[in-house]
Amino acid sequence: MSWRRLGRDQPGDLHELAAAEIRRALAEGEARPGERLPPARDLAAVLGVNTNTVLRALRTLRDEGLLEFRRGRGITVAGTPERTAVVEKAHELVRLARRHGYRRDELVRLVESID
Amino acid sequence: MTPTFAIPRRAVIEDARRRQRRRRVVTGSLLLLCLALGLVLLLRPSPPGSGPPGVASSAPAHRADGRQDAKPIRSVACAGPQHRIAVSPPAKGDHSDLVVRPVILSLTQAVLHHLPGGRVVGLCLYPVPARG
Repeated sequence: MSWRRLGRDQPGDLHELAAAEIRRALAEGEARPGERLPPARDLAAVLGVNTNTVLRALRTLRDEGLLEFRRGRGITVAGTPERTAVVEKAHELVRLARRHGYRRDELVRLVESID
Repeated sequence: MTPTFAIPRRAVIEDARRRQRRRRVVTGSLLLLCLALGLVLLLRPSPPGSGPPGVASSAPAHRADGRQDAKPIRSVACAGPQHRIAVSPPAKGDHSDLVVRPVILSLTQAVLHHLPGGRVVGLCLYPVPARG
């Protein structure tokens, strides 16, 4: 379906959009912790992007602690859906702050001020 | 009345898994098909005289000294692991127990290996009488 394919007209880099899609899927519990993700090739076909874009998105998610790369065992889900949901919301917050002209340090201070 | 819009659930991982399964099924089927085809080709009985080039031939055999042998033996059955074969129909004289030169034996073995029943048709052999 075309609505799922990531469009070039959407704001943000394509790999960030792909990461957001996978992050949202993880937050919704499509894959539980410890489960293997389908190959990047199939994810790329579903999202309508290049495999390298998906691989870059997967590396981003690994850096966030949501995924784990294991040699010979593929990519497994490491984080819980709760953690994934929080990370997704944090990303949304960063995007919102950028749109409204907040710098990174200002946003950090803002978050730290919240008790 | 306020219109409502049903937002479809975007199951990215589910769809990718489905796609992966479909790909596996297609690959597995192709592999099985190739395997079955290979087996059929391997086990298919070969028609007489269709052995490897130079082995299953009906041309008269030549001795090492250049003389042509009397008559090629048309049918050979393997008698055992030794360098002895039984010839059918038997050649003239007492040649029911023969020794085959190693080079011929290797060819014979190669032909016997791929022909069912151990029967070779159209193989040219010239018998060498057993020593002793």
